[in-house]
Amino acid sequence: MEVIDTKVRELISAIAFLLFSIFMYVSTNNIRSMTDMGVGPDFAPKLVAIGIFILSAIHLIKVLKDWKKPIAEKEEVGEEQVKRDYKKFHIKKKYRNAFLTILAIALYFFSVPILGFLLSTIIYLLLQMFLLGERKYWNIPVFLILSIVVACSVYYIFRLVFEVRLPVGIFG
Amino acid sequence: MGADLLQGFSAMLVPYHILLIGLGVGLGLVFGSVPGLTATMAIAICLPITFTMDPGAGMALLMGLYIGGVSGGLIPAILLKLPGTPSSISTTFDGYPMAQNGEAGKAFGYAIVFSFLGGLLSIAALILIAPPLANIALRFGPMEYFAITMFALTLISSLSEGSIIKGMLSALLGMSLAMVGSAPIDAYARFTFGVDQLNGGFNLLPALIGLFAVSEIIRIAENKINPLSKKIVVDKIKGFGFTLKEFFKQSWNFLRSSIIGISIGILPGIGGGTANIVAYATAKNQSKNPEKFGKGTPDGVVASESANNAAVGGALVPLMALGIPGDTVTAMLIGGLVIHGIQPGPLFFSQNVDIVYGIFAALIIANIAMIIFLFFGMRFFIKILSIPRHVLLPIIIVLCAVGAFAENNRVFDMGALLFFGVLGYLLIKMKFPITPIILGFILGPIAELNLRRGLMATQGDFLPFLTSPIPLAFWSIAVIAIVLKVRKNYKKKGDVLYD
Repeated sequence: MEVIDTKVRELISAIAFLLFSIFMYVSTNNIRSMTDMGVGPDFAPKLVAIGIFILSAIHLIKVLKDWKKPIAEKEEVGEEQVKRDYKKFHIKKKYRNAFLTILAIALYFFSVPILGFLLSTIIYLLLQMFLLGERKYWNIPVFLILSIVVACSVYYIFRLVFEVRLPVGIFG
Repeated sequence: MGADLLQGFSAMLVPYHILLIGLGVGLGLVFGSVPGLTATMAIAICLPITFTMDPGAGMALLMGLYIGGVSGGLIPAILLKLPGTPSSISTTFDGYPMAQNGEAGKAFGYAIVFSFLGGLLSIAALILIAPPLANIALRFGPMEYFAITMFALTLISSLSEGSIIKGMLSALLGMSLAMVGSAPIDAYARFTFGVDQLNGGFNLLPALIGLFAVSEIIRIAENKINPLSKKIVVDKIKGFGFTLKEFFKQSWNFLRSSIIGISIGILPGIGGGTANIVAYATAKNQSKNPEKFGKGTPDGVVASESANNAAVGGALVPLMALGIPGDTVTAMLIGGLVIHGIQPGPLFFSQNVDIVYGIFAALIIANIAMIIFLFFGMRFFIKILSIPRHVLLPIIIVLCAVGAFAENNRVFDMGALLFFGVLGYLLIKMKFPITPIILGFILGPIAELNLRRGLMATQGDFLPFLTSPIPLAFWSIAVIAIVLKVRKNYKKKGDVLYD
């Protein structure tokens, strides 16, 4: 199970890099040279794109060559099966948590110019603390006070000491 | 040189700078000791604070963070068997058993004192090696520079963990990300796809923070975090816990481990994380009683802790003399210097003598601050270990966001931060090394600039790039490094892919 998972990941990465290199090479055709001296601004990107193409092609060939390699897989019985299912469930939950964190950060960055730094930071901090902590360790009053204190102190320290004005949003 | 160093000290020994160094060391120790937080993160969130400072003050803070961040890892390594940073992995091997045998105080004593001495020796090596190296590098032309950057990139790709193909792909990806925005020499805007905010390219800061801090936090977020459940045992700590005789018994071990640390630090791509393991293995191999290793012998702690702090001075050699960062932390430091309009490299030594020697002085002061803090403040740092990470990590994300925003006051850079964070996370999941990306990002433009300059000089002839003596030497070492790595990987498993 784990091995197959790794192989799929290897395959995805090889193909992603391959596509990226083709896309990059094609894009360099839009670059026009402004000088007659030496090589133009499209030269190095072309070189890098070709490099990525060759390396990811080698990577892809390796993955495909090893694809059929027999994995020493044991007969799955009783306990093994349960363990495997548990692991599968665990992996799903794992990626869900990571994805939710990315989503929370994205929403946070998106809301900063609209709601302003203070409000969006307080909301984000709360959300993220709930997301990271196991339910039995949720301490809502502490989380709330901490979020407000951190957001306000960062905002005012940066404003007063470092002269950085963080966005105030529509309420500003 | 002596006079310059004296001047550096007189610039650093003012209350404001000492305060900043102390602050840096303290914060670095906190980040180093809490597992999951790293020295790189500490520097990432402090970089924006240095914008408003003068370069000397900014460097004082950053050097403090560097020394503190590398040293803090020893605390959880000894008490909890959790290395606070990769630099302290081998410290757990003997430090934790020592603590279990009721010798935590002694383990701390050895770890702290030899961290200090290893650091001091490596700073001395830095002061002796960097200036003459910069002097030689002054004579380098575009061809030499191109070869040196390519040499560094191949070495990084082959030395970082995992397959060499992935390492090189990472480096090339970093180079292509750096190509977004205006090209060197003619400032033609490339790969902007009509987005005006990309005309200047991606800023270094969001790239650094995203790839190293945000990606790591997303990875940690995969699992819900439980507060530490292990009980912390500390016996009475009195003095340094060892006698003068025991101290001198470690001299040779200390010297060997520090030299290993310095040499590994100088190589691009690897630093304290590798140095402590190599030093530990060497100490074990050369010991008269190797069976004691892993059961709580001070020799193991001394080897690991002198080597990881010695790597600090080593890593700064190529950064300061050539402008080539050796590891993630020094890549961050480049960001800190560039913000102030200073380009590290050979000219750094002739144009900014005051800052160069200020950095040397700051390192020595930070090292002294480190030993004082750890000696008198151990109780505080032990307490810090129990702050739950699900509270700390969200705050760090907020500070990362502020840092990305503050450089240019653009919300756009927060988007870039997220982009690099997700990219870093995906690459970690696909088992691609991250360090080569950022070094490709930093070195790519330098390589391209010098390639194009060189081709102008040679009227489009590539041959001199390969055949001039200095480039030839660098290319040869790079090729040898690749061959060795490929051979090693094949020997190990006959399979380069999954190691």
